[in-house]
Amino acid sequence: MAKVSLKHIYKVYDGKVKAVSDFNLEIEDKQFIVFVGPSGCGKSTTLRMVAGLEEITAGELWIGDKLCNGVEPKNRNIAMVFQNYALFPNMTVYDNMAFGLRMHKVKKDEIDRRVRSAAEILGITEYLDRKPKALSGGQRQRVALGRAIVREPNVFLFDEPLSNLDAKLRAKMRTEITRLHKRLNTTFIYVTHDQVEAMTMGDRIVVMKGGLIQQADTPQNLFRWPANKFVAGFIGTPQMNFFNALLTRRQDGGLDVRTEGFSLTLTAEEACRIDGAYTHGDRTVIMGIRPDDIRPCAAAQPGKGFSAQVALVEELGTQTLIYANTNESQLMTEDSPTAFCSAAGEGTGISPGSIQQFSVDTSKLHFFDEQTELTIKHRMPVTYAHCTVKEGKLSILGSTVPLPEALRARLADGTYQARIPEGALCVADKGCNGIVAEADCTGKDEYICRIACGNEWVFLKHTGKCEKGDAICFTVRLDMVDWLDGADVVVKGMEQTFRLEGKFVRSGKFRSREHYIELDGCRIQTPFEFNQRMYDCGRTIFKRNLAFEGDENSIKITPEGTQAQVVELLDYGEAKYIRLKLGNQELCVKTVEDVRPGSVTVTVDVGTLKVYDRALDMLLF
Amino acid sequence: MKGDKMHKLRFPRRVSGWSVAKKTAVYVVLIALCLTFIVPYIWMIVTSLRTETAYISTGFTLLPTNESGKLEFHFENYTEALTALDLGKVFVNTLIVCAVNTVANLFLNSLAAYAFARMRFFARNGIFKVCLFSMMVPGTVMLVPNYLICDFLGITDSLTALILPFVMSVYNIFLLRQQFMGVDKEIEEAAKIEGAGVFRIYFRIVLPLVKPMLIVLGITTFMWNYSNYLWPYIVNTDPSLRTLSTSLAELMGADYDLTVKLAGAVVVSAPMIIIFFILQKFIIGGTMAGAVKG
Repeated sequence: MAKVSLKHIYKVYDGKVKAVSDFNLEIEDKQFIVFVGPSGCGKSTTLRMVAGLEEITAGELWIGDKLCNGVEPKNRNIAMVFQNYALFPNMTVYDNMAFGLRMHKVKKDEIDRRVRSAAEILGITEYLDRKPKALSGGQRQRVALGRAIVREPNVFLFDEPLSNLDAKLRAKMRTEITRLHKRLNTTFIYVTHDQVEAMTMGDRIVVMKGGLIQQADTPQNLFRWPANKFVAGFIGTPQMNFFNALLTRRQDGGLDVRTEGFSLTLTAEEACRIDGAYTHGDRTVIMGIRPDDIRPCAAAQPGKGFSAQVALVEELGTQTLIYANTNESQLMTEDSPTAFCSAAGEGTGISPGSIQQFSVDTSKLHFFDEQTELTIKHRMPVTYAHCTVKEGKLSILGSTVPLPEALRARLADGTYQARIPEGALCVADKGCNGIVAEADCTGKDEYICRIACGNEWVFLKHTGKCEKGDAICFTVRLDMVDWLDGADVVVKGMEQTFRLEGKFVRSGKFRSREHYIELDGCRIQTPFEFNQRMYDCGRTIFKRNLAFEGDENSIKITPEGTQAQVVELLDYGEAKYIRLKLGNQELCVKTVEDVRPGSVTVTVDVGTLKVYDRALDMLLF
Repeated sequence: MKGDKMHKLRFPRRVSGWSVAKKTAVYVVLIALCLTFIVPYIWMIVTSLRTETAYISTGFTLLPTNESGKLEFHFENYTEALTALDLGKVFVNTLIVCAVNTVANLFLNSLAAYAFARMRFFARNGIFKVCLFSMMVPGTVMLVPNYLICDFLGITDSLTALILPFVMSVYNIFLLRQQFMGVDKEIEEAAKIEGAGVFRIYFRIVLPLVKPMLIVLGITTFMWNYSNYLWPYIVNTDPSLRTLSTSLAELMGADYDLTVKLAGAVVVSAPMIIIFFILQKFIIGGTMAGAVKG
């Protein structure tokens, strides 16, 4: 039994082609995780890296508490089931299953016991003396499973094991594998391109595209809270309908949604998770509606439905799919922006060509940015709050506090909108007060709370039991808040990390060789451990353009060290920041010390820096 | 029969004269070819059982007859040929050379072929191309350099000299590499995950999968060594190290009756013909498999 951790895993072929980028995933012990995505998305490559069949270009792979980069597959205690079974054709079923155990020098009696027990589980006892060529596809797949089971590995890996089987057998084997997981109670990593397989089998699903994780979550969360348009379209059958739309916030906090063919109205509660930056009616967004959420009806309520002409009706037995279009002239046009699919129950009696009313469940709409295609309706959204600055005081979310020194010169008296990110809100004993309007459980004792604070909503993460109606007190970290005047950002919140660009260089001869991070205009000497990690990245490390990312712990003002210029001091009360010029690059870091403008010496703790290859945009370590 | 569905009665279709003529022509050509190959061998066997005077007086006969046309078998020709060939010693020498060479050849060439097919190492493709180019050089051109190397190593006049220069064969490497490349990589990966090392994968998994090609190459290598004449003739002068081919050549040049010489030829060629008939299904099967995969 083992936990598998993939930390910033990259796979780059020939130094150019990125097959997998920055793959981060924690797979809990005994979890059934599914990698799903279209062909060429990197799911099999990732699995093969876990198996040890592909070298990891950068990043760390942990199986249990063992770092497995470069460890031989046989020493990882894993078993893998391949797409085309990969049985040894010259051996009998028994020998195929016993092969791995013989390699690990298990005693004969034990091998026999394990092989027969696995054969019993999979119902292949009678085929033990046969060669693979005398078996059907399903039987061969069972043998492949059996070969994996007998090893009693920590992690099972499956590389599209059912894709060579016919639909009926695939459905049967799917349930068998799920049952096997429950029986063996160990970690399963399963790769498939079939979203039905993924949704029905996995505890968690990792949706991939172009070598990147698009989203990793439970099947329900992927369905309810897709991170982007790709995930929304990939998960769910029939596919989600997409429309271009404009969103306009109403006085009562609700939203008007206008599309090419119809308009909808969202209540304040339904609209509260939609990013406020998109609700001024001037940015086109993509609206997604699942076919199940558009239902034919006798007469739709205003703002909750529309009428459309039916193009095609598909009776599937228990379900009827209705393909319709709000624009009659594009009725039979494929990829029409006004076409959609509706899923209704059996026997609707709707005929093609008729005008039909459809009602929409507006609480289940999805919205995405038109360019990035990322969701703008978040489960844990950014909080927007109205605030007033007057005579050095800030009124926000029902509480008034002195305006911090750093904001005084930048925020003139007036009204602003504060964009408060997730990490800036913390439960506290005193501060702003609100009532929990909704507590959405996201895990064990973890809740996303929607808090009513006056007539505004605040979203914060809460650990511990939390129920609707509970009174809650919280504080806002003003240093992290963006201050907006309309759509313009007046003051941006402080970044918690900094980034420097430069190269890794060495000078001197072999015995007296020294290594540096060379920034534009200054050099930082690096210690042996850091140099070794750089050398581990290969001989090209000295030629690469690098970026070094650090946080407040990475840079300290010390009596000796590298010369830097203090450009600005930013005092937020509890948190103080300094804007430094190191060489010709500026960076902003949090500090606890009192510093005066002018020249200072700083020490960079290079051990805490993250190093990126800028050309490949790849985290090296 | 009553109740049975009625069928219209028909005579078998007539075979057209044109197709009969075509078939006949094919058979005539095939029989002619067959006779072209088989008649000389039959002549050799028949003549080896006659006396030289009978052969001179009557010429070619289908059966071993004497001057008066009476059936007569002269097996003493064979006794004489066996003595002249020094068959016991020569046969052992040939067997050693052929067996050792075939085994070493298959072992080393398959290893090299596997490395070219599966291992990743510096200049792999370049080295393989250089090997392929060496196939363009005729074998006869290599006689003198090979001899000089053997002389330098001090292995002339030994069976080692008949084995060592021919243990590597680019042709065999090429064919085996193609075979290895046709083996599904996932099978090897499965074995790797199961805990097998490179050699275990090679011996237990991959090699059994290319067995037909190994058999074909084994037979052809054995046959080539068996009939190799020029190199043993050049590198070995010691009569005790003669192989069947050199011994037969010596018999042909010696003052013996033609019938005795032909008896010697029958003795030398018989084992190869027997081996061919026993293993012909592998030879044909293996060659076809190679052709399709390649």
